[in-house]
Amino acid sequence: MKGSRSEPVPETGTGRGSAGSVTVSELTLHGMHCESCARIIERTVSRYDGARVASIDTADNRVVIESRQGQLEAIRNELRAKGYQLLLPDERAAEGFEAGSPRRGLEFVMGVALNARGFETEHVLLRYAVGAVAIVLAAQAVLYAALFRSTPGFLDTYWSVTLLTVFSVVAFLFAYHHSNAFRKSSSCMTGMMTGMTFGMAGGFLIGAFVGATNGMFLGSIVGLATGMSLGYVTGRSCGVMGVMEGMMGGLMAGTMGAMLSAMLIYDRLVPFLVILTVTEAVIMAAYSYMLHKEFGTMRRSDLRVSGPEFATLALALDMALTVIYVFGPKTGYVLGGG
Amino acid sequence: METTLRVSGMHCTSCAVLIDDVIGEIPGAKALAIDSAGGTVVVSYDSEATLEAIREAIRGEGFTV
Repeated sequence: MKGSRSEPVPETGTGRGSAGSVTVSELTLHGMHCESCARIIERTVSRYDGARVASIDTADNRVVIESRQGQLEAIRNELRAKGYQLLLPDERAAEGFEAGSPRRGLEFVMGVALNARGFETEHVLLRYAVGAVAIVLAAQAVLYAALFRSTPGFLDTYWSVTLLTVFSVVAFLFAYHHSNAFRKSSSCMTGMMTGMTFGMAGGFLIGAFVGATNGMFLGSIVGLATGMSLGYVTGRSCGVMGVMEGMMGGLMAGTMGAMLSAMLIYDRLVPFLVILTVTEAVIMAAYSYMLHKEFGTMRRSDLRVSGPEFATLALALDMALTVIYVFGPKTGYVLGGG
Repeated sequence: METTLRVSGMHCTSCAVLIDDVIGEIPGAKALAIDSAGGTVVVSYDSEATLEAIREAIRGEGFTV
């Protein structure tokens, strides 16, 4: 058997109609998780007369199948019914196309939400995130009842930014801890991308929030500080290069976020902040999907955060931002009048 | 006849599918319920199949019965 890694051995029986000749094909097979999967596949293939699995690699998604003419299609269909995806040589393009399809994205989201096999760790993070949102929202409610209820116009001014901050902080923590779990297998290119994505997205959002409540000056400062810190922390998996990339992204996006709010304050700022937050949440989800796709299923032990740690960090970040929104110096036109 | 076997070594749904598959190949035997988390397999079999043949088939796949 001399199948090369990239090219399947051509079917020797083609054109001659000799049903007896055996073809060796090295193929990609998705959906294998363990030894039992390998055994199921071996048993399925060997039920076809003259066909057998010559070798199988569950970690690499590779399988070498010896079969007679016309059997591969039937084998492919039977395996698909059992939840495995065997790609025949001419099906590679279809797989590449499918990789970016919305259906795969939806499967990822559903897998995480429903604790499907292969998404257990993401599901744990999701549970932490939902818990953290509940805790931070409760803390905000207590804070309002205890301190700000008597302040006239407080809710009108701060409701939007407060709610968006709670969801943003938790979404960022989810994405951060998720990417952190992949850190040891992450490549330098991914590290740079992580730094840039987090630095830019985080800086932009927080810059816009503080810009909305405190004006462009404080917004720019907090935005660039947030963006650069996030870029630094997340870009470290790629050394100085990732750090620089992340900090540059954070600097640019942080000041730009504040600028956006300073200009939109004359227009419909609050609806746009909602759109911005939702868009960034989608980007973070897509980033998590990309990591999962690139580096596969991660183990529970790779997740270096506990539920209480997650919630405490979310609470601390949210409270720090609330203090800035409410007590930070306000300049220019801001939410609630300036 | 119906018996519950204790099978250890099952990790996931694929293990259950595999066991269901091997039992199904024995004439007269059938897996009624497989609980991979609890480690139990409920099998039914008639005079054609023996419990020992079922155990042997499961052992053949690397599980302990």
